[in-house]
Amino acid sequence: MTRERLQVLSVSSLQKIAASQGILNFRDYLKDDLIDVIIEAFAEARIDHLTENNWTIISEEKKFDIFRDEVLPTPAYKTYQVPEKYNITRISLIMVDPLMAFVCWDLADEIMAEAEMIHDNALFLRVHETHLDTSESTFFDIPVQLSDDKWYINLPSHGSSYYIEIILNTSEGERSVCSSNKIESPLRITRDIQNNSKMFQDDFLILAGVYGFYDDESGSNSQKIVSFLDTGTIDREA
Amino acid sequence: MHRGYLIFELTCHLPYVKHINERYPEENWLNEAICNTYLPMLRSLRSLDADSIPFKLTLTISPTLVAMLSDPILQDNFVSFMNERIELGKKEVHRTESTPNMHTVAKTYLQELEQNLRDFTELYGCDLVAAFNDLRKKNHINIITTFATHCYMPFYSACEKNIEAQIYTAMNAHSKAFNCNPSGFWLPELGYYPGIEKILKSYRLDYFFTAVHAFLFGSHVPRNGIYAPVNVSGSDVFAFCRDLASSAFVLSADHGYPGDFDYRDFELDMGYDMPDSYIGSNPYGKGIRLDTGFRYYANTGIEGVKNIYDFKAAAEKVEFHADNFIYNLKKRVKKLLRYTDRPPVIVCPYDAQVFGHWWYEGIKWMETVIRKIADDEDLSLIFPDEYLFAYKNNESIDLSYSSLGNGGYSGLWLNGDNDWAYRHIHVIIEKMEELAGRFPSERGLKGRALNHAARELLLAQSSDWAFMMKNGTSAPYANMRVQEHIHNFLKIYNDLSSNSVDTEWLTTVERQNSAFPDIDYRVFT
Repeated sequence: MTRERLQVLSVSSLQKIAASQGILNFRDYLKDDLIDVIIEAFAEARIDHLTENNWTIISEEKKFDIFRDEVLPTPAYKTYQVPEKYNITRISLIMVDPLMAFVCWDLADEIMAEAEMIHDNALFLRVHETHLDTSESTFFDIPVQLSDDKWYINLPSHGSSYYIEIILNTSEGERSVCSSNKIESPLRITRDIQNNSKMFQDDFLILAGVYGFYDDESGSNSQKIVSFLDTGTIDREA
Repeated sequence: MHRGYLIFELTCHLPYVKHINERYPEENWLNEAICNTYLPMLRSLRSLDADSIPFKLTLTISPTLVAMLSDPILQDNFVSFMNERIELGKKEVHRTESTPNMHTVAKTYLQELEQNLRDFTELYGCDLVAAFNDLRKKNHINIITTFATHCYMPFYSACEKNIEAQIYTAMNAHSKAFNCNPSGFWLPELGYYPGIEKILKSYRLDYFFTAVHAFLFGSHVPRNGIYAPVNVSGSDVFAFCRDLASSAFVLSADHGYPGDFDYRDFELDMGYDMPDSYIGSNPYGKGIRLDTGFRYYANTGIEGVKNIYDFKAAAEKVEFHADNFIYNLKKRVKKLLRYTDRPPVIVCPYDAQVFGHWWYEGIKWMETVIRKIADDEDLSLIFPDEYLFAYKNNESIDLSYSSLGNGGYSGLWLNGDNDWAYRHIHVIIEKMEELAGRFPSERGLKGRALNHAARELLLAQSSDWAFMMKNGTSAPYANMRVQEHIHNFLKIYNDLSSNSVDTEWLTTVERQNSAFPDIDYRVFT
């Protein structure tokens, strides 16, 4: 359910949905906040659903499942200290999926000291995007705290290239501290199937190994394939 | 000529686990895998060979598994493990005397354990790598490799020297173990990113496997869909795509064969029911309970009721499910032939430990499928390189970033439970490159320290650690291991920076994390 659809519902309807999602104290929320927590709960439920339906992952899990540590005593594992900071300046950008990336960074002590001298918004991440088809470039900024060293970034578009700069906001103006590697988000569409005939789509379903998993009376097969690949839902009789 | 082909790919992999001074229950992952999967699988494959049944399986044997199977300390551990199991088995045979059905199960388990130990020590001389290699030499199995520590490479795509180190170390370990170079490569977790084919090409690797997303969301949909390999971006490295639907017959929790009511229940293990005093002590701490392998119940399928496992009923289902699998494959091939310009190839990759360890009857099922396919006129097992040789014109496409993870991407290996590790690992990759630049050709003690730093760096990158942190299975152990490897790397880095090496400590960690004895840190230069 999208935010737009939730917006048109009454507060009492939203509260019913919140209760069904196991959200505690749902009566304490204002409408917009309630919508936020519902969307978050849907996202978590979706992740659980994906995990439960990924047979390969479940089978991989079984081989490590040879003793029980849930209610019984757990072994005494050693702890090793790893540094909190490395006194270097660097940044890495990693793609998680077509709509999300992970960025982690370190800043040398001298830059941290300089940033600490500035009161507000000393540091921000500048996310640069270049559309792969049009070569059009744009950017947006995300303010971060000095204590931060990682962040998840929602990527606005499929099929774009991204890199991130860490910007220090000094009294003389903005200064780039370091730049990340580039990543390219995949298109996440089946290009040939867009706008093609139903006949082609049926052929495609067979060749993709998903024929018969869905009846296609209406709607887009392409979207259903995405859904199939996401959830792994399968009709054994196909 | 057959109307369709089947590639069975079995991934044999475990993360590197070896402890000298401490004991952790995770060291039993290897023992369980050898006992439940690898020894029964070898027995099954040798029986096919003895009966002159033709078969072709592709096995990925990961470099970390090769390292563990070749390690005399871990081989001794396995013998001790088996002796303890056999002692417990004898007690179980005695304990179950008054319940005939359970007694039959206990006696069979004891026989299997004794057979496994005899095979391991007498037949194979504790060397399972050689046992698999014998089958390779007979052209029954095709052994390929994967990154040295089963690293999820899309997260390191910007770290070229690290990729080089992972693959160079893997190729060396493989050629040393099997006296040949692999023809193909297993991308851990099917993690593909555009460009990796160029690196594989430089190692003369001809093919790899991908998830469906890679094919369907690529530059265009291949003419033969997922049922023929493609030439990746014209590189002359070819990608085979896994067939999700065929995998589902085995792997689906709800509809897969292993859930059949007559098959053995995976969860109910005697080790969690009997008192400590009966099972015997273990070195992992008071009250820690482990699987014992003595599982007496069938899945059954009636809530609150569990029938005692019946070997005969399960064997009948194995026959039925082998027939069903082949029937469905043939039906699929028949439908596909209307669309493809060649006999389609259906790729079924599985984690090897699905068979035997999780699905107790799985090895017998696979053997039965192989025996039936050997007599089939329409369907045949094939190696990937044989298919490529037979069908040379393969379409060139650009594949999409993808994996076998949830939703087809990388969130399983990078999320709030495990993301702490990546900042450190990326930092120490850069520090390793710095060390290699500062010490371009060290030998002796410094050379040892540098090689071990490279080893610790690679061991930190196993995709298994991130997987466990996310899924909660042995998460504290996975956290410990990544911290340990980072810590050990940094100690060497700091020692070398102050122009010293702690020899005693280095010797200890080299003995514990002794994988890849021929690792060469200069690959980071």
